[in-house]
Amino acid sequence: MEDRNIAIVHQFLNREIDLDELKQRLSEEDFDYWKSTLQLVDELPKPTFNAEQEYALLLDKKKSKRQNPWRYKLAIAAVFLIFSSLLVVNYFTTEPEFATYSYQSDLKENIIILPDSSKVWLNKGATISYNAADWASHREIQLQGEAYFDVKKGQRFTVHSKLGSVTVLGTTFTVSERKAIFSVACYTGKVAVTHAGNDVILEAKEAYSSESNEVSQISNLLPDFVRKWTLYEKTPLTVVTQELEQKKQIKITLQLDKEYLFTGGYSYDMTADEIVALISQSLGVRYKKIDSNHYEMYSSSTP
Amino acid sequence: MEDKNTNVCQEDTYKQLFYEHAEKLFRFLLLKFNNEDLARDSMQEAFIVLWENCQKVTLNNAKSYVFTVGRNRAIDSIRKEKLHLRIVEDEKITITDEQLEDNSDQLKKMNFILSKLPEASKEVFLMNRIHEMTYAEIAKELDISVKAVEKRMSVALKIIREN
Repeated sequence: MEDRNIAIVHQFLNREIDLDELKQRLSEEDFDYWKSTLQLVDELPKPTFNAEQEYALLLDKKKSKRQNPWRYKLAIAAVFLIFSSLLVVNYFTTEPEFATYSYQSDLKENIIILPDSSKVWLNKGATISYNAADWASHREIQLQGEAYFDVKKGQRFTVHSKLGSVTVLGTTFTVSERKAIFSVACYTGKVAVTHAGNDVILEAKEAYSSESNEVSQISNLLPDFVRKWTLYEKTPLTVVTQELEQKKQIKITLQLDKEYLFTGGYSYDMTADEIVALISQSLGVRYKKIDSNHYEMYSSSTP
Repeated sequence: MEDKNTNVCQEDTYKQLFYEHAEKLFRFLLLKFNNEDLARDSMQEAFIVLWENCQKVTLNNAKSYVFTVGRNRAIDSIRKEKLHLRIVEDEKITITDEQLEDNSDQLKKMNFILSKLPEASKEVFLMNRIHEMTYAEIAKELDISVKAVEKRMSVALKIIREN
């Protein structure tokens, strides 16, 4: 199409001239031509971003990952000085032996057995590391992402994440830190949670999330990512379909004559088609596929 | 002017830079790569590298420094992750209309248009609109001519107009 003085528009986008000047330099006709486009150019999605929180995360990452280069250089200088002046002293002590494991998508089960035979199930994207040499006296784990722990009874067992930490003696629980939300679910036993300066004690079947800052009840005996099954008991169908919509990125429209309660479950490995068919069958309702990711469930009686 | 040439090793200066540029960088990376974890990690990496090299970076060029590092980090990790395609696919998120905080029609429209822009135009457009870089700065960053930047911007404008 014609140029319509696009060079002047570029000057505006390049911040050489402001809107008033742009208006002056374009003919009325040309300005109208560009108006709607220019109204749109700054309408871009803005994700939530809490600078203070993000800065705290950065400082944590900085601390855990690397040292300030100056301090690092000073440390080298200090070590060198001590080393050269005290040649006789054996300066080296046993170095910690850190073991690190990350979730691997090609493994069927991402289970890590710790030196005391406590077990860790990693969820997608999770990483743990711990000091294997010192495990007997310090049961401490660094966690990124989400993992389920089955802890053998014994000394204190602590899970640290960048947002908070959890201490237990022997129990099963999940710790998760994702997208700046820290959450813990306790399945058996008792755990102590430390987050943002607060201490919370969780009993069996209780969960804590930093999003609401509250303790809530849970009914599952295992997290879904460990069991690889989602189970429902007399759950309103709307709740079931909402969760399914999120998990499988689909849309389900309900056209039903009454409120249905669903009891049953589906496996993570099933396709959306299979799950929708399974739920419909067990409730005695019909369904149709509207397009590749849109389903409709409707009562057998509705025409 | 002396002020502008001091390095960024002062904690205060560094923090101020983070408050000024971190959100823009995060937003740019998120819109370009559609992956929140990747955007956050690359943004953090960029600021960590800035800290490590604080003596070499002046206040004046800190903005383009974090941008260059952040963008390169993101591209590197994508390259690496291509080997683990399944993970990338699982974690890739696109911004759905429901996730947009301010759910205006204009915004929905722009979100849709972004998905239609050719990658090269989208990048230049985001650098200009979100990272507030001039055409000359973009040209230098991408090692292309100012004319080429103009061309890519024109493509973006054309697509916005037509939608």
